[in-house]
Amino acid sequence: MNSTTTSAPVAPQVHLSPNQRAWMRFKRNRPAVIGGIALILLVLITIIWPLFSSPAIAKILPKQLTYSQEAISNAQFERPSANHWFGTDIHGRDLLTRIFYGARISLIVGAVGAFVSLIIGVSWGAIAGYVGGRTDNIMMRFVDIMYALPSIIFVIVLKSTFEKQLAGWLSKTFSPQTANYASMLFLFIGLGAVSWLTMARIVRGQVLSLRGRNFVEASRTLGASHARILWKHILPNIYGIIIVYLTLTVPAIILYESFLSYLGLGIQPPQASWGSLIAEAVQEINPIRIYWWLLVFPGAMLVSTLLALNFLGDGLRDAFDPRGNK
Amino acid sequence: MYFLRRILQMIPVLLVVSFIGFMLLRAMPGNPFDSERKPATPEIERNLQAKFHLDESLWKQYLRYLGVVGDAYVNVSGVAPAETGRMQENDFFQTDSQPLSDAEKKEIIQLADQTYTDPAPVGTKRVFLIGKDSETLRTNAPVRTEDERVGYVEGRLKAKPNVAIVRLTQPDLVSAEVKASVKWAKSGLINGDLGPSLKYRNHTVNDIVKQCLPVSMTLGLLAFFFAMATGIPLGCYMALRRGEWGDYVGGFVAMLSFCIPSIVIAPLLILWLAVKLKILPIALWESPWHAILPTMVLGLYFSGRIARLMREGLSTTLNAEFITTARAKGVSESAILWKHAFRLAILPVLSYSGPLLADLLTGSFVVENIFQIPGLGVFFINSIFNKDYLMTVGLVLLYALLLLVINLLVDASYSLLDRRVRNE
Repeated sequence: MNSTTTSAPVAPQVHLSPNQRAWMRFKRNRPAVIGGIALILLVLITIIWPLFSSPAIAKILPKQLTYSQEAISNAQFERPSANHWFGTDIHGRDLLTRIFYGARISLIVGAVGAFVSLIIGVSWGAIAGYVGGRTDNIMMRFVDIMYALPSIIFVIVLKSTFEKQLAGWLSKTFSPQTANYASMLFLFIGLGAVSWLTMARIVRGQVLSLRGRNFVEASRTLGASHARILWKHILPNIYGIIIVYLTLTVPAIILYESFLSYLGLGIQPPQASWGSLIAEAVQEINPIRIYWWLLVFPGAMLVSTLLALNFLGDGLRDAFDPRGNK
Repeated sequence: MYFLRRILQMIPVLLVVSFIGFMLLRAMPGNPFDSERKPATPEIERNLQAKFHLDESLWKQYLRYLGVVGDAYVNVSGVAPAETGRMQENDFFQTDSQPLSDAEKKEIIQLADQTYTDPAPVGTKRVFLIGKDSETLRTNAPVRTEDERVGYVEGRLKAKPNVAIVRLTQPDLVSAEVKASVKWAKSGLINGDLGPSLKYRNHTVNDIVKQCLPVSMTLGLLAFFFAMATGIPLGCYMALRRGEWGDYVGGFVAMLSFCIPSIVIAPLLILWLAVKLKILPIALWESPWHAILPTMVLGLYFSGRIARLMREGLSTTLNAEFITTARAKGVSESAILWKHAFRLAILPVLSYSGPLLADLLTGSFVVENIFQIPGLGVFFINSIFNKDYLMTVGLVLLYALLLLVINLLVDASYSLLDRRVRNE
């Protein structure tokens, strides 16, 4: 109270919406902003990286940036040098290029998986919370049971059950090359399909508390349909929380993908993700020669991306939900 | 009462988990014998399928897994001396004590000769099994002595369904006196039997759990204590230095700890400590020295989370009114921290430690894989690949059970630490 009365004469009273206030709080959180900027940069580099190896652009760039992903050379296991900044791998491929190609897959997995988990989690939680009663009870018991099942079997079962069918369908409908993407597609969907549980719980709790509020009652009295109430009145109030948990789901999924790829269940060669690059490096561990660069560079990329995402997520949570994390 | 109800509630959850797991895994294409050494003739495969009941309907398989549908088997303690060829008058087993007249025996032998025109192969022997309960025997049901399988049920006479034809594959293993009884096999979940492994056929899933769970548990508990021992002090330090440099540095360290995945830190530590400096073993699970690296790697991921929860809990508690009251009364800072605040501040850590412990006990697949530790994680991953579905479902159930039990224990300890929480 005090601060508003003292500041009122100095500056004209500006009314800020809760979302605007959250944005103000977010901008003051330096690690979160840095994390966000770093992520945007990473995404941009990852998008334009493949362009570098096209002949027209390769001419004006230093050649260290223009190796193609598949180019196999005789320069096996070369240490990081002026030629290859991050060194080369077992087939003499440039590690820097491989890492940025790997970044594409790791980031897409994170984004698509989070999107799938968003769709399932929000609809599941919103319906359970809004309908309430026995429906809510059954739906949330189901979530409890899913928590008790190790999610890795879902990913594997989904993949192995439907992968061949999808590959066949893809090569028939589009071109034979697209069949290679079937396994990746299932990795995306599968990872999303197992990561929606927390989102559903949080959304359900929020919807449950908003359902009984006056503005919802009012619009119900005015004859608004259930879909309209959910979509226009309840969901806009929980966007903040949804965004926060979405940001925290992305690193979880990236991490999960790297584990799966490490175990040989995820991305298959010649495609690479950070996880599979690390797996390749681990296979080269031997007491005679140490190829540390194979491990350190993909690992560092993975760690810093996870750090950036987590700082961003924390910052967003502090901004949108100031009570939640003091 | 409350806890009794909670325990009873576990049963339906476990049932649903077993059902979902079972059906999902059986929905996968292929069968567990695909990866067998070729060439496996169709007949061998059919026999294997029959042995593990894969030829039955899914529903029946599931009920069998639960132990609702079971198998009768024949227990014999003696067999007439081995003879090959046609069946004879003394080749009768009776499972109940009604004596058979010679005319009846003759009739049965005649009927059997019509059905089984080929003589039993050399070294094996056909005998009859007669009795009311022999009707419960299905084709292929095992026949065994106390310690060995000696044959199987070949079929049943159509005209007299209470007469089962038994093929003894090892007639010499038992001798002289002839006694037989039909028994119901104790199997299935309700008897605590997780079934056979379809891949490692000399072992049951129970065997493998018995062998590997202690390893996973030791590793999990060690990592749990490592995470607690590093996370809690760091969290307390951060809470006491709130808003100062120590808090920010500590926060960064905590964040770093769960942003460095085990697949990155473990190989680096192996390269540095085991390969380069050679002060620790690279992998495997033999001496206490072998446990150091896996424990650190597995625990590290969680210590950051615990530190953050501890910081939350302690700084919230230190702002509570009863702490202000205690300060006003002149209680010393250390007494406030240890006697009053800590009990409540640890609650968020406690509620997180439930799923964490369950995760650590069974879910350390990746770490076990990196360090080649013979725990459950390896079997779990392999069983999914091999479509050894009984093993997978068994391990999933074990995981679910552990999760439920640990959560129950956490709730119980909640009411011990915080008297305001009543479990009703």
